[in-house]
Amino acid sequence: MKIFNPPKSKVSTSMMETNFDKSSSKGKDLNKHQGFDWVIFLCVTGLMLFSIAFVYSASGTIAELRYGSPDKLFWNHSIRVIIALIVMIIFAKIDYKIWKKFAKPILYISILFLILVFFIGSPINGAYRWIYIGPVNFQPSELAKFALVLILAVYLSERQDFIKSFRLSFFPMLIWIGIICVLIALQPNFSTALVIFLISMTLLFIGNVSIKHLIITLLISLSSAIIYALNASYRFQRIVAFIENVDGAKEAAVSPAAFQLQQALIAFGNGGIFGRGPGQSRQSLLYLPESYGDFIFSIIGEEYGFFGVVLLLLVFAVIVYRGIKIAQRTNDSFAYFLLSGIIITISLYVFVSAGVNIGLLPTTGLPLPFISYGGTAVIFYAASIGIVLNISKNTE
Amino acid sequence: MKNQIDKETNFRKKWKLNIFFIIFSLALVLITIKLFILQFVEAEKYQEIARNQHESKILLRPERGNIYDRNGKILATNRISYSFALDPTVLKDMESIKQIALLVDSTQGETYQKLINKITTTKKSFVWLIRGLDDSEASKFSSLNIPGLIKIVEPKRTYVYNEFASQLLGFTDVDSKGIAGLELYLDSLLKGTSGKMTVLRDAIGRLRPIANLPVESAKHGCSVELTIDIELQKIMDTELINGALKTGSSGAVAIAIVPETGEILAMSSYPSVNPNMSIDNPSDLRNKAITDIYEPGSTFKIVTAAAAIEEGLIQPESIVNGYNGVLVNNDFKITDTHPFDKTTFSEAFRYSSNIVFANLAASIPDAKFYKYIRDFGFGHNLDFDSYGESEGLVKKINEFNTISKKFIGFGYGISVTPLQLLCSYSTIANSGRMMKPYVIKSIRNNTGDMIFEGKPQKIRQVVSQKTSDILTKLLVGVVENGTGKYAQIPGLNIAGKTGTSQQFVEGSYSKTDYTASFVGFFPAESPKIAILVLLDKPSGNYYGGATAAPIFKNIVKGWLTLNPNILNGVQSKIDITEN
Repeated sequence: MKIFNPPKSKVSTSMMETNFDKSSSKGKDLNKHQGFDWVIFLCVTGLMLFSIAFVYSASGTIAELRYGSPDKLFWNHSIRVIIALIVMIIFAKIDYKIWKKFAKPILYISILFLILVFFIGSPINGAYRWIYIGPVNFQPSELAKFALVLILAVYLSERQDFIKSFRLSFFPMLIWIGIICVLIALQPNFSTALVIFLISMTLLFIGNVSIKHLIITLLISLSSAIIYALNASYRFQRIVAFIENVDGAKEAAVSPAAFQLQQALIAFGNGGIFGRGPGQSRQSLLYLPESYGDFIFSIIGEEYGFFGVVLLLLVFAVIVYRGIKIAQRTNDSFAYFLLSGIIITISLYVFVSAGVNIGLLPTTGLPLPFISYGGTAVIFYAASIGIVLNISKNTE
Repeated sequence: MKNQIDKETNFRKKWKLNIFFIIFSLALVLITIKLFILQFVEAEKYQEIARNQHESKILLRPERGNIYDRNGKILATNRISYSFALDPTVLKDMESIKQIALLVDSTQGETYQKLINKITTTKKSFVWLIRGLDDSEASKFSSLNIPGLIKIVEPKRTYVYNEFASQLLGFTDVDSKGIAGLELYLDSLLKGTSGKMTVLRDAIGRLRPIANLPVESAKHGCSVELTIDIELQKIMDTELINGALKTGSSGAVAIAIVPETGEILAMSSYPSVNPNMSIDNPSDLRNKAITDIYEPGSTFKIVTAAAAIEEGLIQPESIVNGYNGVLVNNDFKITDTHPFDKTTFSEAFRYSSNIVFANLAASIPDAKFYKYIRDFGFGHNLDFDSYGESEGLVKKINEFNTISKKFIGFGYGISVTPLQLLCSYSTIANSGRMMKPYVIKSIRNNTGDMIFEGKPQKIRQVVSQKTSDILTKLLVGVVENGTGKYAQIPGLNIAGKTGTSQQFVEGSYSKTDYTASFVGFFPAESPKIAILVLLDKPSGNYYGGATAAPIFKNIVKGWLTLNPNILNGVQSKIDITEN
């Protein structure tokens, strides 16, 4: 069954008019819950603009060493942030419903890229994660992540009437999840695959699939994932490093992962409560690998201190909260699931990235949404927020 | 209608997203707790680690203090020098290694081979090639375009007057640390205090200074002004070298002192060394004026005479027995080179009769003789401004007896340093008042404040002025028409005494190894300067009068050309007395 929503703008204006006739207080109430979500827009724009400062101080030394210019990565990132802001505004203007039509093509394209990355991609540290198209470096998994959320939203909204059916609902979705996750895991980028898998499972739970199916799937895939994890030595090393470091950081010189974590912890500790101040990071003096990417949270912790990072986490919490509130208001199931998927994605990435940075989770490379330096991530996140904003605009 | 709405929003289970948000919030709380632990509870621990890895302390080298002479002329200072080292882990090319080694040792000698071996076998990433080059020498290395060549700019101690006063000044090692002489004695003051600068260090070891990190600047070393007159020192060194070469001496010492104050004006040792060059024979670094002891022989007779005159045992006019030049006993035989039978004491002094002085010494009570010897500064060190001062050897009072006193009476059986001997003459020149010899005129810290001033210090009144005057007259007689006549300078009254002593070699007194000396002061009427010249093992004529006295004379002449006004003053004084 397809749920059809009449054009919302018309409905809302007519309702506003009628409300005005009945009582002014009710009209106010509606106004409050309606329309473009400026809070999310401002929060995300703020995060992205601040990320320029974060990336600058985190990348200066390494950019100088690698490219001979301390602002090389700063400029790259600034340009991407500007593009991302434009993309966000454009996506906010595009009626989110058209993504339903594009869900399948986008999915196919992203799968194609995921396959292509093995052939035309450039391996970084032995992993095929990036495709370079001219000046643009493009990470297919970033696209695939949103493509999967999109297709799942479509499936969930279209098949709600028989959502508990394994054959008609669960299995087809599982196939797409499986394809995407396995392709990403093969790059190899196990952590991204795992996080995308968890995003999908959470979304399926929101999407009311059979809990039984969900649990069995989780058990089977997680146990095979563990076997896979122990298969690759660097992953095993990181987990060992993580376990070693759980109770008080031991001497860190053992493995690169343990070293990276130790340096991240030093960054936080060095920042203390109030931080060293903007641009005063010392851990970015080549001590902390990936300081401007997956470990930027640590550098923020060093420069802005405990209050700074907690404020940052609060901003993320506000975005997630506002997103959930919009979702809970919408009557369009596609919008509801798409919104849920995007919110879940952002939440999980924030948690995993921050958790890795502070040593709560094993060391892995996941960017912090809106903040980390990274080719495509910033733009895809901006696009997804654009969709969220568009939905907010079209929600009663 | 209601059913329709329920059906339409059936997909929307609000509690699910609520639960999700609660879980997400809990996760954030968990992160916040961990952050609080990291950034508050354990922050200090991490900040300590952070400091250790981020901050590096750079040593700021202080500049070593200069050494000046009494007239402010720089004797020792520092100049920029260039040192080169090689990182053998970078340079593997044998041709380049050979090229470098050839620059270090162009003769391809032992140094060349050693260096190549060291470079090719070491596992270290740092091998010194050569240190302390000046600009032009350094350019040879700098122009090499060889990877792994490390150029280091460092201060190098420079001695402006090369070998002059070298043993007194001493010298420093390649790291500008004092290792001999005044450089060693005053090292703690000269070297200054090094400072520290905290700089930021990145993970690959590059350092960057940061404004808000503490800087403890280096305190430059104190500068030292000496009582030395380098111009006199130059004359003395030159004359000593010439004289030593002329007489074929194996070593020589000369010292000049101002009797009235105890200031050392010059202090020379031969063979000399040039502290700017590498030193082949470390024993030449000794400041023999204070470290070496010798049996003074006749020059010591002044002590015997002083004791006897002060104690009223003899007068210059007293008649003494010379035993015709030979005094034989069961235990000893004493001979004189100028034999006589009976004559006055002043005549005996002039010709330096061993026999007369042996008998005179024997007549002085043990305790008295011992006291005068000690009072003149023998047997204990003079607390001179340098390390390595010897006390000399003086018999204990219970070893004093007629025989030992006889020999001590003419300078045997006692060992003294040249400085001790000169001080005893200086005491006579200063009316019997002994002044502590010193060489440090002042020390100023890095801000120019004087932190030490060397002042004349009276040690004691050893003999009365009257005795001193008598002794001075006796000494003038020695130069006028005695053994010291080669020291004569027309128009100048010089008081002096020659000494020629056999050296005690392997248990007996040598017939070939002598110490020849002359010690004197002038102008005799009002002594301005006392000088000692000592020659170790002169070959050929070994008499102090013939070997050391002319050197003394040449030094005095040189000194007079430097201080003509004093000469004029003396001459006018002479004129006045003659009229």
